[in-house]
Amino acid sequence: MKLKLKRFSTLFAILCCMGGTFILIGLAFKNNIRFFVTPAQVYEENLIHHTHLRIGGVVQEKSLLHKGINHTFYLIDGIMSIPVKYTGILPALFKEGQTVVVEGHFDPEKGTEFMAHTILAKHDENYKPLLKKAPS
Amino acid sequence: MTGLLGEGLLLLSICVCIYHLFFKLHYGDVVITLCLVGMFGIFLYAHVTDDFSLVNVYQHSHTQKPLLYKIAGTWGSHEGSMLLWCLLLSVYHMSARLLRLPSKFQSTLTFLFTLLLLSFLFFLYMGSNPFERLLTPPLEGQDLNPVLQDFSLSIHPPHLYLGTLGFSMPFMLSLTSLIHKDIARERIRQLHITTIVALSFLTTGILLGSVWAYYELGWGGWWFFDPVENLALIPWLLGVIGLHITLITFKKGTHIRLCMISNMAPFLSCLLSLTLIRSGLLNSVHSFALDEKRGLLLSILSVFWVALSVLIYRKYPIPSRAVVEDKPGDKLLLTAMGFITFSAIALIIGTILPLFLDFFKSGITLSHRYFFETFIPLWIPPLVILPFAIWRRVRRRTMGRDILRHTSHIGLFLAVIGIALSSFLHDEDTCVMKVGERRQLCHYDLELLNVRTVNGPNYKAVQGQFCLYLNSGEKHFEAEERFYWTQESRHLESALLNTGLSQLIVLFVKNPDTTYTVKVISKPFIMLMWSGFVLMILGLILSFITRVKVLKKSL
Repeated sequence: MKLKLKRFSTLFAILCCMGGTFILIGLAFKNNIRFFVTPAQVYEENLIHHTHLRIGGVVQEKSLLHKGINHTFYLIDGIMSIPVKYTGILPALFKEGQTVVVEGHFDPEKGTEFMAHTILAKHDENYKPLLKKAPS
Repeated sequence: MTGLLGEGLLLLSICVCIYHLFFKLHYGDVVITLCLVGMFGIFLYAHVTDDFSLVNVYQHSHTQKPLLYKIAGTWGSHEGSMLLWCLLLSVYHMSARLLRLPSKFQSTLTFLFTLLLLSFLFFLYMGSNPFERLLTPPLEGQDLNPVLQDFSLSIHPPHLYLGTLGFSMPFMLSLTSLIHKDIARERIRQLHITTIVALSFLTTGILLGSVWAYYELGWGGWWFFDPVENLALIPWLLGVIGLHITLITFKKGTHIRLCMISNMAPFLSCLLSLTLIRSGLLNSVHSFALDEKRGLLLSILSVFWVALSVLIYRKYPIPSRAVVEDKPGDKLLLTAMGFITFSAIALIIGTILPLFLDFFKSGITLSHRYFFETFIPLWIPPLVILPFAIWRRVRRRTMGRDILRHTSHIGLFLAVIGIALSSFLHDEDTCVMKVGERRQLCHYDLELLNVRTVNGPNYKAVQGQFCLYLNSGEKHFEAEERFYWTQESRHLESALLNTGLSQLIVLFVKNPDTTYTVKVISKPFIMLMWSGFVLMILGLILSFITRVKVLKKSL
């Protein structure tokens, strides 16, 4: 009888831990989902007020301007363009015409300029630009 | 000619494997290894002599690439890395001879190992042939990505493969043990030793990748919970769990079934990781181009081996024994392992589920904050249990020896302290500087002395020469912004400075006008973390040496 109780309590403890773990995982997962959109989708789905946005597009040619460590450029997908502002050092693979992903949010007051806190410019072993086509 | 020879050897290896499976060639494993050595040698020769008739050499090399990176370039591409993979797998197969296994056991092991090798050789031939040829060889190659031309990165893949493939040994040993119902203490000890070997290499491989990312790519970041990083960490976690459970089984003779499962899991997870990574399904800095054929072939391979393992486990069950009550020490260890398993599950979900969801609504990604909210909390129970469990055991007069035995654990704690301190005290400062200017960045006194141009073997750079003023003296260093003309790409070569237990990273960029942007990243006490990691590896090596000595003594 005592052994049964011990076994039951062990199993119960294990199930509690497992339950707790999965609740932890589930909540964390739900809270950290980010949607990766194109400039066109931002305006179509009215995502300007989102606090965390990830936008992928191409850096418009001849739109990159520098003011010390502040950089501005236009992110385009062939349909819409978004003005982006970034403070800091641009990633090494960043240049005009390059596919990039910007993360951040639109400025809270006017919602016209995108303030990026992270810029990702990557390419793979065989460089192939990854351009998402907005739904036509 | 070279390509044809290489491909011929590949077909020969496949034939030898098939023959060896059915007719048991004497020293078959040696023959296959020699074929693979030959293949690798030919491939290496082609890379070093700029033989652009091979597609792989054309796509990933260049006449002006430094020799070291031409050599490292052999395993830098997918096809080359799979060739190295097959070679190392074959070498591990040969190393089974060192275990002096009983002959029936050995022949089953050989059969399974050859079958595994054959699966990979088929994959190599059908999905990633390194000897694919161009009819008219071009005069110049397309060059390897300059970001990958770095020493620690060149030795990173071989260590990873040695680690990952190292898990094939406990995997095969446990499968064969099940089939032959041989769970003698000697087998368990061999499981333990082979796991230590694999884990040492894997830890080193992951560490090298982190070190590279730290100064080359991440600008002070050494772990990003990038999908590919996670997929290397999962086998590592499963390997750690396997190591500890095998130790219990070795000492107490209990939990045999758990022992077998935990020795098969790491290698199977390696196969699944390989499939996910090489298929190109993952969005990551380590991306490989999307290749459906590779993905499909690897999936078939992985599913086959998972299915085979499950079948063998079910067909040859370990007879259950009378239930023995766990000692409290074992309970603690199993609880800790349980939480580590949960942390691995959190990683798996965070890596694979977004992929899955992406099929339904494209554009879903998971912020890396998820991992901080799951992985780290789940590691707190094991880290709390660990000192408690060690303290319970270190109560004898053997204090010195016990400290040595727990080197890896001490390393782990050192690393955790280093991680905590460097993360909380992390600091960054960016500013615009002119030549001759002296500024305070992250409370460090920095002066830009001079700027000059540097001509490298395949790049041209703008170099900033700095002086860091410390209480202990002055430190002179350089940081560069490089332009690789072969790929028309820009790359920042940061400076890494040691200031006591801390480190500084300095980035240098030339602005369109006559000024320069300088960024300083401060990582206080991060040397504790790096030394902690190194101690973990040393502890594993020490453990290996002591156990092999014990083995030799008993023979």
